[in-house]
Amino acid sequence: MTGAFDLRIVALAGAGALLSLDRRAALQAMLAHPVVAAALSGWALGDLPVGLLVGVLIGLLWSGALPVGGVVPPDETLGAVVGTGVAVLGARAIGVEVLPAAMCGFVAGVPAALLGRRLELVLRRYNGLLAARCEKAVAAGDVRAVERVTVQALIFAIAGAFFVHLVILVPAVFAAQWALQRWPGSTGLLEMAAFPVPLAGIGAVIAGAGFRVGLAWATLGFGIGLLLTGALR
Amino acid sequence: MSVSPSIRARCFVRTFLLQAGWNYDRMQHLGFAFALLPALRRIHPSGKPLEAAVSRHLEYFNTHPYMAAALIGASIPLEEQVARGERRPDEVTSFKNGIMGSYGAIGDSFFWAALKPLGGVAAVALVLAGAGGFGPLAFVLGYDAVALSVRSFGFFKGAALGPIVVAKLARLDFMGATRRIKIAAAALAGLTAALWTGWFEREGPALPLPEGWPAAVVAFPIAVLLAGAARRGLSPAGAAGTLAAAAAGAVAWRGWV
Repeated sequence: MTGAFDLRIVALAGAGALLSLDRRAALQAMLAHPVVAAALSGWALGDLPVGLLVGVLIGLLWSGALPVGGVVPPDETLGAVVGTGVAVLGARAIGVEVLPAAMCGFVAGVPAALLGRRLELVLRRYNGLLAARCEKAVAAGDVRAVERVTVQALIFAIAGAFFVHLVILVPAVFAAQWALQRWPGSTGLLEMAAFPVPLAGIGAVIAGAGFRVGLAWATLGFGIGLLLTGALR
Repeated sequence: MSVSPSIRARCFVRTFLLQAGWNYDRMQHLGFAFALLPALRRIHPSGKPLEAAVSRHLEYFNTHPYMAAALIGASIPLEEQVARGERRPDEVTSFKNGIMGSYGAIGDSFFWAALKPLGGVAAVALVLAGAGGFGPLAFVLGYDAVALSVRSFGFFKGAALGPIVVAKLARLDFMGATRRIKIAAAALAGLTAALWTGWFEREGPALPLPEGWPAAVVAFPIAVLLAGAARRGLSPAGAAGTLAAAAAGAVAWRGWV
């Protein structure tokens, strides 16, 4: 692993931290959606096709997980960024093809997303401490505390996300390289294992419309899709 | 003191940080006060009236982040009326408390449960159809065109009209649109299953199926089974991981690779 390679992990962690802000703290402009975050990460790392494919594999898995009230869904942005990082900097760097590399990213990305949920819970608890401090300051006549505390919360969110991205990316990239070199035949297994993965997310989207209604419309869409895929060949 | 258009614009920009300080105690209260602060500084003289106004908006608040823009906007004329003595301060809080729950439900079901999955599945479909990076780009542009329109319409109408903005937004028929978008997403999901199958047959390994069977024969039933499982609460991520492990295990066991 070269020095330049290390820097790309750090740069990706920084980009991932900024993308993570879009999940809750700022904008909510869908830049943090896994399909978008994975594509942006892949593009930034110089391998857009892998980023797009990681997005296809991970992108729809949490379509039905809504951030309603205090519910914190898995951090799909972290999953997408880590998945793309592992696919490009881990698997592709040692010559693995696009599909098994992206699947390798899926294997790393899903647990990362579940871990990321923990960070979000910590951030929200920390925000509670900041808010209590802010209320006291405002009661004492310092209304600027509202702005100060908001900026502090943003900085803490970026720093926390950067740290978590880095802490997960470094061992995950090394582990992927080690495992793929130790068991080169595993790429064949990864390729075959990829087939059902997007279908789980697709199923979640179908279910979102209600099972019967969703099934009827999905069947129609599938029929049209079969005609289209015939035309695309 | 009336709030100038430039101060309103500053407040609107700040609505994009509504959830920066989200916490379990009072949820979006900090973001609400942060967004409204430039207007409050203009409306209320410094000292106790300003502190009281800021404290009023540091009370519990939670709704959908896009729909909140309308309530933040509508709070500006309400605060102006409070400063002129035409309203009691608690009427501002009552207005927010009365609307935030229903706006949360509308926003969650329209944006999170309908438009976001539709955009995601459309992006995946475009990628699989060979559109490359245009897929995610089209998703972001299309989604944000809707989200930004609702945010800016709600905020600026609210700032101009006050609580009447609620009636204006009610004309947009979010509930009907939610149902139609979910149906479109389901149809697009079916199409995406076919596109994925076609992509896999072109780019992936040959599936261990009987001679002449297309991969679509197994793909769509799997998607339907997983849709049923998702309705019953099975996590799609867990299902995907389990199926992937089962596929890899079967392949290794039978020596297909």
